[in-house]
Amino acid sequence: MSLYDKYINKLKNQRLADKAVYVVTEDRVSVYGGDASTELMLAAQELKAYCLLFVRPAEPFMTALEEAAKDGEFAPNDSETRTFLHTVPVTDNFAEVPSALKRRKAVFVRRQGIITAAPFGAEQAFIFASSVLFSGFVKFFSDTGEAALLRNPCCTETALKLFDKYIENFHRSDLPELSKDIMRSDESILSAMAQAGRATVELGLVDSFFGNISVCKGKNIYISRTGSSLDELDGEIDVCPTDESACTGLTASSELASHRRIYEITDKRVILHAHPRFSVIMSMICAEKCENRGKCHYACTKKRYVGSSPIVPGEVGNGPRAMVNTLPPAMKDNDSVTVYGHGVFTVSANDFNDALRLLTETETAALKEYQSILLASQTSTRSPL
Amino acid sequence: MYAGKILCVNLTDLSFSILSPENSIYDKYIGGRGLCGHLLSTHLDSNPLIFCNGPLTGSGYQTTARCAVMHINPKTGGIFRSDFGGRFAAALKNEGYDGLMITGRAENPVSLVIDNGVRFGRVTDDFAVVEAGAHSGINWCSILSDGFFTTHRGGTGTMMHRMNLISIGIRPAAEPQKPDTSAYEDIERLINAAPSLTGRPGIGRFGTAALYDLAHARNILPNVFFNLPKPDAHTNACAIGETESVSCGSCTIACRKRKNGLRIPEYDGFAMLMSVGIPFDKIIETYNFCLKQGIDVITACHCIAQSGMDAEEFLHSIPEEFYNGADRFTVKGIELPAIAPDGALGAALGYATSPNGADWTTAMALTHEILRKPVPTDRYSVEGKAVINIAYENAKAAADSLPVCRYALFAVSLEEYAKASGTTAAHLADCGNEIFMNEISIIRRLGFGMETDRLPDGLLKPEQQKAFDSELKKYHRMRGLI
Ligand SMILES: [Zn+2]
Ligand SMILES: [Zn+2]
Repeated sequence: MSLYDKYINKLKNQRLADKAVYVVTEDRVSVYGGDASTELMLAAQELKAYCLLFVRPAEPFMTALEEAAKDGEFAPNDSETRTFLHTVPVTDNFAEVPSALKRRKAVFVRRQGIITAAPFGAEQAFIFASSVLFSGFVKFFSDTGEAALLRNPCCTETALKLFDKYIENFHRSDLPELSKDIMRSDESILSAMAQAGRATVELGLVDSFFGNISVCKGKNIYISRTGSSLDELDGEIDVCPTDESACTGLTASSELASHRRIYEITDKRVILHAHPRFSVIMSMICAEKCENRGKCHYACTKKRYVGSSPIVPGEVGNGPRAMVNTLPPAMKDNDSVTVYGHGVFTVSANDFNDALRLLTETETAALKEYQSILLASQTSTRSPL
Repeated sequence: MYAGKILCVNLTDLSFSILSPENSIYDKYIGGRGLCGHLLSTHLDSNPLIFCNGPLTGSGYQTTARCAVMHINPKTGGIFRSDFGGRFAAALKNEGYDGLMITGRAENPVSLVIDNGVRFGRVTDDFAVVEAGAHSGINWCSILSDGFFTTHRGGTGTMMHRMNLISIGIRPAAEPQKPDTSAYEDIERLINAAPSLTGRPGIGRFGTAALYDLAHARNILPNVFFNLPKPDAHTNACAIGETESVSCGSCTIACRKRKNGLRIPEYDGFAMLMSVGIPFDKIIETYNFCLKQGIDVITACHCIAQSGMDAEEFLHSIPEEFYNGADRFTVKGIELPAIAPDGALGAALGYATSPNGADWTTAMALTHEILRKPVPTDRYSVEGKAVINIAYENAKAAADSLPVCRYALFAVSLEEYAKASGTTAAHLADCGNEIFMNEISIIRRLGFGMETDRLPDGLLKPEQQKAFDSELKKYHRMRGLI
């Protein structure tokens, strides 16, 4: 199977897309995933792009994206978009696709879908498209939720309908039993990580390319590599000495520093990090009119929770605004911590069962809280008959 | 953005003049490396030495202090293209020039001083300075900028020696303020999100020698092609201990390191010296000796491996038969850098197709094959690398012209720098293509045909070589070269 078919299948199997087509231009043009429209072929030709991917999002993502794109080019506040996509251009017209893709990695064409251009091929195009899907979804639901909380609701009906559709298609709370006694050997650690990663993706708690996972044993941290997929971790784990006697961690997840600090200050030995959609959404819904508004992702000082998971600010990686300064201290007294607009970190003492359970519990709490915000605003604003 | 002027200095009669390129030249070639290439192409017959800054020089954007340099390579007769850090590029811009083009030969050794005008004489202390390394015999002598920075490979020092030019000094510019723009923030966020740059084991902490551990683990150190024993894993950048960071200027990564007044080797130097068996506790001293002498460490280590001589002995008295370097593992006369081609086939393809000769800083395949950015690619597969290399060669050519440091490209793409310079990534990539193809046309004029796009024999396994040859052909087709 080609890489192109692999990612088309991923998009479809994860129920993210109804249709996905790659147009690949090397010294000749190849199409994967069905027929490419004439407009798409023209765009590929004009852009001379190596790898173009068209994705028609499945519901509820398509409607959520349409709504997020209502006012044109949008800049969601989730960390993925802020760091890598910056903004998502929006157009009604296929003819404007090339000019948008000359500027940005992906464009949304209303009533059609997402188009991305990727110089590095299949996987990169897949990542761009799934980032747009994620960020459009998160933007629509967080905007709607916040409006509802501020008693200024809009789109509540649509949101409730999409919410139900989402629960029907995606929400699963049946936890698989994961390996126990994983610290026996290198092999048992690596296979337990691969198993937990796969389960996290299968439960819909993270899109395959994102998230990270680690185990600390003795003087080593076993951590998923940057750019690895949580559902394909075989051979994708770096072993980093905690005494920092080697730089093999250069390719480790960008959150290595946070993981390392958590192991330093707690007695937990495994960490699981995912981007469950409604935990991310709930982390961004805040009715407070505080002076740090707009800087919430790195400077929020409000004490807030998703379920019982405290929300901390912090950006990806390193630097003064990074979560390495906020997440580990919060992890001292909590086994689940949510990073604003980003995702959830959970820990447990010796295997991944507790960590995975905490992750689903946080997401279940987020779903409940979200639904009750929408329902509350609906009853309070409906005019009495 | 642009000063609009190139300072042309003729050393033969110690005269100077001003060149004012058309706007269309700036539009097409951006500045930096691109402008160097344009000037070299239009003045090839006078064998000029060219330095250029770019539109982002002095802007305060991250990693924009690099100075581009280009000339005919005195070692090979091909093209020499590189860049270096320090205050030189910003100082040149501050004096009102986008470039400096030097031709001719002075009768007596001179220093060129640019300080509100041009003079020949002693360089004032604390000026931004470029000086030739001390070894005037070798044809691969490097330069030293601000006593600390240098180019990736040697040759510019030799040019200066041949011109009888000891040094160039420019009154330094004030350090620019960091711009208060969303583009600056976007770039900073990406730098901070990159484990290879600012992560705990990143090059921001340990210098580019941090890459040694990955190269060791992936078995792509130079000992592989030298057929020498694999060096020890534990004598790595971490073993050097904590160091002091030195910024090339406007850089928040600051990957150049210093300890006890000595510079810590870059990845290529470190890996090369370790691979030819220099004891770990002598590495820093040896590297700094080479730095002052202008001895290109990569070329020197090839000579050491080829001659079988004792390394210390070789470096302290380079035999004349090596004044033109080694000849066993070269592309277009340039020795392979410190990444073995059989363990990184995109990098290998890049060695073959770079106008520079064997050079990883042209196609940058190390970024995705080893560092997994922006996405990981299979380093054992050459298939599909032609199209990726072309995109990266173009992006890198544009980045070198803005200029932006190659290490920033581990995390940041043209998209963010395009926003900083008021254009689009696609436009920059188009310019990058022009800039790259211009360099191809220069090497053609210098006598390097397409048949010189090849690796030395015997480095790849037979089945690798077959796939390599067919991907190389695809590369040539896609570049429109056949
Ligand atoms: Zn994350
Ligand atoms: Zn806030």
